[in-house]
Amino acid sequence: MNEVDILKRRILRERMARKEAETILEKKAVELYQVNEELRKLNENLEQKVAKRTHQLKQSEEKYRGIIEGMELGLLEVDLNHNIIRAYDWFADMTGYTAEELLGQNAKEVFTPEGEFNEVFDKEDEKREKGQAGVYEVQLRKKDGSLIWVLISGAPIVDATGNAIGSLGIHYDITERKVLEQELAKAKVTAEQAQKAEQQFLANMSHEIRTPMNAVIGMTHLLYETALSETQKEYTDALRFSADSLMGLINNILDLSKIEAGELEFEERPFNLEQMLKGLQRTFQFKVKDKPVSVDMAIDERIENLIVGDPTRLNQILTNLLGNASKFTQHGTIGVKAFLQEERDGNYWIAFEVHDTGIGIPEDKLEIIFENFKQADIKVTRKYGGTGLGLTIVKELVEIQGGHIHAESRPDKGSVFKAILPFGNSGVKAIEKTKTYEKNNIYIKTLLKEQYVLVVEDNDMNQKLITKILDIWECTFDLAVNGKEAVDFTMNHKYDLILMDIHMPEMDGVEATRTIMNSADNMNQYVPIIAMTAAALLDEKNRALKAGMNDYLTKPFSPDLLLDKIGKTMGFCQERTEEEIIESQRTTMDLPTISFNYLYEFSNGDSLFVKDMVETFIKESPKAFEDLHHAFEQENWEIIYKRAHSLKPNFMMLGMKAEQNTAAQIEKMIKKEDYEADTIQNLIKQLEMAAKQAYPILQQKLMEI
Amino acid sequence: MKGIVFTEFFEMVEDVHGYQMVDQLIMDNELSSKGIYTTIGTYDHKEMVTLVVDLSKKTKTPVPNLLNAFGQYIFGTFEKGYPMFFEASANAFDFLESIEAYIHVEVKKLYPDAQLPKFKTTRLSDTRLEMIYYSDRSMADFALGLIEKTFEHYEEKATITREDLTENGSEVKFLIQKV
Repeated sequence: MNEVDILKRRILRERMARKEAETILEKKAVELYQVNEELRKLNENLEQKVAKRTHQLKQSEEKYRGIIEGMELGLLEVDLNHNIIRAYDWFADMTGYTAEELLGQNAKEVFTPEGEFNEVFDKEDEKREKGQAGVYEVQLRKKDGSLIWVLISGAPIVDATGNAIGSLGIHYDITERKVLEQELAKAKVTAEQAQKAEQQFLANMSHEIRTPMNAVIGMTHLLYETALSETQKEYTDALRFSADSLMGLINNILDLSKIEAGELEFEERPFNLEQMLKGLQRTFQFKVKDKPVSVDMAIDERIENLIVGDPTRLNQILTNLLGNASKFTQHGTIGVKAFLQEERDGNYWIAFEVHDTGIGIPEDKLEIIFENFKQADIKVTRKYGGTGLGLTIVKELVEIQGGHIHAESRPDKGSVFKAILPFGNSGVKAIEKTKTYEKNNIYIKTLLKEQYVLVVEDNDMNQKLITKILDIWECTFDLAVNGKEAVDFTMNHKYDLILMDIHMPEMDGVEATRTIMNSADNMNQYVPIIAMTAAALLDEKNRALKAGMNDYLTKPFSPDLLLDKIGKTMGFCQERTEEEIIESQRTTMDLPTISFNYLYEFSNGDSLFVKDMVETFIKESPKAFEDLHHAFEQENWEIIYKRAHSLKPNFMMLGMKAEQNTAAQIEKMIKKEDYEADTIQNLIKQLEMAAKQAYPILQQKLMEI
Repeated sequence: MKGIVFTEFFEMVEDVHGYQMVDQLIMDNELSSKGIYTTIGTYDHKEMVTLVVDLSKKTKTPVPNLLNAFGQYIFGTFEKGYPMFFEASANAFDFLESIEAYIHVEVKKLYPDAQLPKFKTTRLSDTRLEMIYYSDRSMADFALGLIEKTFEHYEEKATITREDLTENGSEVKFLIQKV
C-alpha cells in the first residue's frame, strides 16, 4: 500500500514536472521566436543601412570625381604596373584618346614612350609603396603626338587590408604655365642684361663725368692758393659751388642707382658718434657763416661707447638732412639731437632729430617729400634749387639699415626730421680709441718718407693732385702715364707701393696689375697695389680686387683717406674711423677753417679790434715759424716750447682749432721730454703750411671788414 | 538554484537509498515546489539546504560528506551533457582555470538567471594551483567533489588542501598540488 502510494506520488510528481517543463519550454520557444524576429529585423535594418551608406559613398565619390573633372583635372586610375584601370573623361580629352581606348593600356608606354620620365615615376612608385602621395611634373605625349606638360598629384589606392593595389593620379594641364615660365625666364635674362648694360653705362658715365669734375674741383682748390683778385675770388667761389653741386648730384644719382640695384654696401665698424656730430657741426657752422644761424649738436650721455655701424652712410644721412635744414633756414638754429631711443639685444636704437627753424613744410606735403624728384613746392625748387633726390636717398639709406624716418613740420616755424637707426655696441669707451689713432697718423707719415712709390695715372689733373700730396708727405715717387709704362718702370726699380689708376689708354690698371704679378722676373711681383678709379660701382671694385690689388680708392679722395689706405695696405696701422679722417683732413691739404666768431664775441663786435688782431697774426707769425725752424736745427726744445705756446692762442682766436691742437701737441711732447725729432718737425711744418694757407684768406677777410 | 541540481540530487538519493528516501524527503519537508523539479526550472536554494540537512539526519551522514559525494555524482552528468567543455582543455589545471573564464560565461548565456559561484585561480607553479571559491551558498564541499572528479577525468593525480577563509564557508581556498 505504502509503496503504491509512493509510486502514485512519484507518477504525479513526474507528470506535474513534465507539465511544468512543457510550460517553461513553450515560454522559452515564444521567447526564442521573438528574439529571432528581432534579430531578423535588426539584420534587415543593418542591410538597408549598409546599402544606403554604400550608395551614399558611391555618390560622394562620384560627386568628388565630378568636381575634379569639372575643375578640368584629369583622373586616371592605374594598377601597380601602370596599367590603366579607369580613365576619366577629362583625362581622355586632355590626352586626345577616348576612355575606352585607354582601358588596359600601359600608361607609361602610351604617354611617355621614350621613357624620358622613368626616373620621376620610379621615385613616385617608391613613395606610393610606403603609402605616400606625391606631386610632380611630367610631359605627356598626346594621341596626335603633341606634348603637354601636366602636374600630377598621385596617391596610392589601397585595398581593405591597407595594401597598395594601384594609384590614382589627378592631372592638371600646365602647358601654358610652362610656356609662360620659359618666356619669363627669357624675359628675366633680357632684363638682367639690360640692367647690366645700364650699370655699365652708369659706371662709364660716372668715370667720364668724375674725371673732369675731379680736375675742376682740384684745380679750384689750387686756384685758391694763388693770389686772386676779389672778382677772381668771387668767380672761383661760384665755380667751386657749382662744381660741388654737380658732384653732389652725380653722387646722388649713382647712390640711387646703387640702392635700386640692391648693391649698396654697408660697413660694420666702430666709430665715435660724438666726433662725427662735432665734425658736422664745424662743417655746417662754416656753411651758415653768412646767416644768423647757429648749429647745435646734442648727444645722449648714455651713448658713451663707440657705436658699430656704417659711419659713411650715417654721415651721408645727417649731412643731407642738415643740408636741407641749412638751406631752408635764414635765421635761428639748426642742429642734431642724438638720443638713445632703446637698448635691445645689445643694440643701440638711436634717434637722430635734425631740427631747424626754417620755412617748414605744409602738412599735406609731408608725405611726398620722401618720393623721388618731389619737392614740397615747385616754387621751392626755383628759389632753393635741389633735385629732390636727397630725401629719397636718406629714406632708403635709413630703411635698408632697418630703421625708419618721418618728418614733422609747421610752416614758418621749422621742421624736425626724426630718423631711428640700429647700431651695435662696441663695448669700447668712445674716448680711448681716438687717442691711439691720432698717434698712428703721424707715424704713417713718418714711415712714408722712406717709401718709394710708383704712381700710375693718365689724367694730367689727377697727376698734379696726387703728386702734390706725395710731395707734401716728402715721399719719393715715379710717375707712369699708362699701364704699359708702369710695367716698364717696375722692371727697373723696386717699389714699396703702386697707386694704380684703372681706366687708362694703352694698357689699363687691371691688365698692368696682372702683368706685374704674373712675371716671376719682375722684382715688384709682390708689391702692394692700391687701385684708384673714378668709377664708383661695385663691379669696378671687384674687378680691381680680383686682379689682385690690395685695396681700392674712389676718386676724388681726400689726402687723408689715401694716407689711411696706404697705412692699412703697408701694415703701418689699423684702419682709421671715418670721422677721424675728417678730423685730420684739414691739417694736410685742405684749407684751414677760419672763423672770426671768437674775436667778435670777445670784443663785443669791435671790428677794429678784430682787424688789429688778424693783422698782428699775419705780421708776427712768420717770425715765430722762423724761430721754430732755427730752434729745431739747434734742438733747442725750450724755444720750440715757448713759440708753440705763444702761437696756440692765436690759432684759437682765429677759430683754427686743428692748428691750435697741433700747437698744443708740440707743447705736450716737449713737456714730457718726448723729443721725437721727426714728429715734431712734421708738426711744425703742418702748422706753418696751415698758416701760409690762412694768410690770403685772412687778408681777404680783412678787406671785407 | 537550477532545477538540474535538484533532479540530479534526487537521482543520486534514489540510486543510493531508493525512491522511498526521495519520497520521504519530499513528504517530511515543507517545500514550496512540493518536490516537483524540472531540469530547466529555477527553484529556491533553501529547498536544497532543507533537503541536504534532512538527508544528513536520515542517513546519519555529515552534510559536507553528502555535498562532496553529490559534487562527485553530478560531475558525471556534466561530463556526459557538456563534453565540449572538457575537450576545450588539455589538462585539469587548464580546465579549472577555464571554469570562471569560459564555462560560467557560457552558462550565463544559456541561463541568464543562474547564480554561479565565483572562482579565482592563480598558477603558483607548473604543479601548483591556488583556487579560491566564493559563494553565499557555502557549498565548497560540493565544489571540492567536482574538482576531485576533474583530476580523475584527465587521469591526473593531485592532493588538495582546503582552507576556510571565512567562518561561514563563503570563501574557501583550495591549494592543489599535482603529483
